[in-house]
Parts: sequence; C-alpha cells; structure tokens
Amino acid sequence: MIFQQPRSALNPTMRVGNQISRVLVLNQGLGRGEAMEEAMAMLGHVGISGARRVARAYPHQLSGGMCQRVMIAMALACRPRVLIADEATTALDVTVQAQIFDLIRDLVAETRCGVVVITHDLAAVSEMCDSMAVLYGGQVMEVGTTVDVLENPSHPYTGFLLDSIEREVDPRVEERGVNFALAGCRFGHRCPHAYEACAAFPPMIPVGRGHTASCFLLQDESSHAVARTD
Amino acid sequence: MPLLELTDLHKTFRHGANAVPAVRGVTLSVERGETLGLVGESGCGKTTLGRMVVGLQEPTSGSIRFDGQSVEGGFAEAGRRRRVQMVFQHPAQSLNPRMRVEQMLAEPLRLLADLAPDRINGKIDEVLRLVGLGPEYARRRSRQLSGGQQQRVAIARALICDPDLVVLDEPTSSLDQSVRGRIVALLRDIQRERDVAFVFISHDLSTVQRIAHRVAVMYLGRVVELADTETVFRSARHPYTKALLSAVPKMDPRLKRERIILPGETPNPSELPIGCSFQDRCPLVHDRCRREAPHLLPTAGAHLVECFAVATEVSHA
Repeated sequence: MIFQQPRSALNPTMRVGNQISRVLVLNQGLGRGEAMEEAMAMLGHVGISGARRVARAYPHQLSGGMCQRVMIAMALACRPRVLIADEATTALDVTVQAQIFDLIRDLVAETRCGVVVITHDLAAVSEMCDSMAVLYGGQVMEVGTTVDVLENPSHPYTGFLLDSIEREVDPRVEERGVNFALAGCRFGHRCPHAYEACAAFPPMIPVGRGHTASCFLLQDESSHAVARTD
Repeated sequence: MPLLELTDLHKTFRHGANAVPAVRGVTLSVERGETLGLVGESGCGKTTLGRMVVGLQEPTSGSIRFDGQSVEGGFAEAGRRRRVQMVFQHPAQSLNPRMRVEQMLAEPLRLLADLAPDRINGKIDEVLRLVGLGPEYARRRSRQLSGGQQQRVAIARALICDPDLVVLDEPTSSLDQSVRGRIVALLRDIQRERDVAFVFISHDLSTVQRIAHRVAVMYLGRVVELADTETVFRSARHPYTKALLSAVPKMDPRLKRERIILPGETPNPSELPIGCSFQDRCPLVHDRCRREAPHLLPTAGAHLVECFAVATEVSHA
C-alpha cells in the first residue's frame, strides 16, 4: 500500500534504506545485506538517481516527491499482486504527480500487478484508471469503465460531482456533510431528484455493459423501457 | 494608475549562514477590480509575495506602491491597513476557535473602520449575506462550520471593511471539489458587486483559469511568464509553463497526450546555478542560459516571457 502523506507514513527515525530492507527481511526472509542490495535496486527502479545516497537519508532530508518514491519502492519491494495507492499524489505538485503517474504506469506494464487508485481527483482517475467506482457515504453509487462513467454518468451524485469541476453546480444540491444515520440512499437528503422510494436502499441497476448505478430513478427508467417494449 | 505596483521586489530569508532567496526581483501590477492569478509549485515564493503585498512580511529590497503611494514603513503607517486584506490558506486554522462568527467579524470593524457601534450588527448581517450565509451563522463558532462555511467566514472577515485589494492564499485548496466551484463563483460575484481587486494565489491551475483575468507563473522566486489568462492557457511560451500545463491531468478518458515530463526536481533555492534558474530541467537550454539570467520580455502585446529561447524566436519572426 502507498499511503496518503508520504512524509508522515515513513518512520522519521530510520534511514529510508533500512525501512525498505526491513520489509524484505521480515516478509521475504532475506539476509540483511541481501535485503539492502534489493532495497537499493528498488530505489533505482522508482527513478531515484544516487540510490546509495538517498538510502542513507532520513525522510525529513528528502522532498515530498522523493518520499513518495521511497513509499512506492517499499510497497513494491515484495512484488505485490495488488498495489493500493491512497491519494498517492494528492500532496504533490503537478509536475511531480506526472512523474509518479508515469512511474506507476511503467511498473504496472512491467510487473502486471493490479492497482487500486483511491482519490478525489477525477482527472487523475481519467488518466490512470481502466474502470472506476464512485463512493458516497460508504455506499457505492456507480461502477463502470472510466470512459462509461465519465461520459455517461448515470447516478445523480456522479453527475453533480462532474458538474462541480467544469460547470456551475446545481444550486438545488445543498452543501451538507454526509449523514451516516440516514437509512436508504445516503445521497437522498441532498439529491434534487429524491422521492419516497429513496428511504430504502437502492439496488445496483445495470445501465450498460459492466456499468451499474445505485439509484431508483434508473430502475423506473428501465422498467418503463421494458413496459414500452411490451 | 494601477492599484498595486510591485517593483523589483526581493525577499531573502536568513538562517544563520544560510540564505534562502524566496522572491528574487518580481515586478507586477494589479488594476482596480482585477484578479491576478499567481501560480507555481510549492516553494516558488508565491505565498511570500502575497504576504509582502499585505505587509505581513517586510521586503528585503524593492518597492510596493499602493494606490500611487509608497507603503515603505508598513501599511498601518500609511493609513491603508483597512484597504488591503488577506484570506489565509487553511480556514480552520485562521479562525479563532474560541470566538463566535460575529465576534470575528466585529473585530476588524472595531480596529480598522470608523463605524458607530450600533451599525456593527447591520454590517455583519450584510457581509454574511454577501458570502451566502444566513444570519443564524453569526452565533456559531468555527468548529460548528463545514470547511466551505469556514472559508466563507474567512472571506467575510476580509471583506467586512470594504477593502480595495484582497490577497487570497490558496483559498480553495483545502476544500472539496464541489465546494471549490461554489467559492470561485462566490468570489466572482463579490468582485462584480464590490469592484475589489484579488491576488489569487494557487497551485491549482484549473481554479485559477476560472477566476483570474491575468496570470503570473512563478518559478523559484521569479515570474517567468505573465499574460492574460486565455493567452497563458492557450499559448504559453515559457518551457516551464508548458510543462506545468501539460502535467495537469485532464478529464477526458479517451485523450492520449504527449506530456512534457520535467527531469529532476526544483533545485534548492539556496544553491541556485548562475544564469537561468530553470536551466537544469529545460528542454530548450543552451550556453547563454548558463552564463546570464534572462529577464521578462514582451513577445506579443502584454504577454511577457522570461526566456532567451523564446526571445530569440520572437526577434527572428
């Protein structure tokens, strides 16, 4: 896993080389020397030049982008099948973010591992991901390929989210926090289309191939469509 | 006459023997009722520049003129403290947790404005309405507000004394995407209504694009490109601006773009090379860039770029 804030996720009292090699000692049962060599190789792998110097450094001596590379090196050290990147680039500048994205893409192509990108940045999803799931208040609102969801958003929340980036947002959607006490659809109390049925939990309704959304409005639409063909 | 004129402004922080030049010779102006976007990556000096504009930090050298008069010796002395205000980066941290919203809004009125005490409440209601909050929010404390509401209160506090210029330092960076759009819309409405000028500091280029009239791009303490917003986003000339713009992820899943990935990292400002500070990462670098530092030069109209390669191209054309 790659954590949100690289600098606070690393141990401030350990040299970064030791932090990476420790993972290998504990999980892969490598000897210390062996593990350190592997750690150096990983640092080189994530685009750090002068791996020997960086391995001797403490996290506070490195920039945010460097710390993030160290985190990625640590996450990849045991050759995982799945990599979880939790807001991995949110704290970074865009030019560094571009470098990290490139790096993750190369690593995926090379190691064939799966990546779960957790982020609030839809543009990052658009660039990085094959498919996406939209969450709100602990419920999955919509799932589909990135192209389908972004070009044909079917849940009112997804539509609202996309509007907030490029256009003016729907003034009917109130600026309110998530209400976890709410039964049924968690977006119900902010949704401009909400009606009685939304007090129950809506099922995932297919809207396209591999594209589903959790909203009663869609059920009505699809049942209407069925009714019409009948 | 511009509302604000900065001329060859420098700020160097000294820690013992170590000198960090945060701002290195910035010349800019802001017109009345205009929004100037100040963009750049962390450590480029944009916040320091903003703090010098409001008088929170003393420039090492250079001059600041506000409304035609020098503010040497500080804004308070020049009697214009009220006319220049600031909205800080983190709303939660810039509001006093022990005060109610009405107390926070009354304080600047008491200190800076010559207002009869019985008119203070009316003014508070007016400014709360301006930022889209109902009068019921006056009794709240900051922890009882959402992030977006806190930022609205911070904006209200900056506006309550009817300033001519507000410096907004990353006002939307700590907010959710959906709240961000509303704050930007709010700021545009306020500007239309009050004719107030904004210096909008942000590393978020898409927000700047939506609000600024002109944009100054900073790299390591210098403005490397300055033009109206459309020119910067459509036809940027400086290689750093181009790389910065190309690095911003776009919302188009089908788009396959050529991205300009800058090699390496921003150099340490206390160990800058001789010549252009962008030389080690620049795709257009040549010998001259390693010998002397370029200056902001016009390419077309009011589009200024600080780059030898661009200047040569323009003079040949």
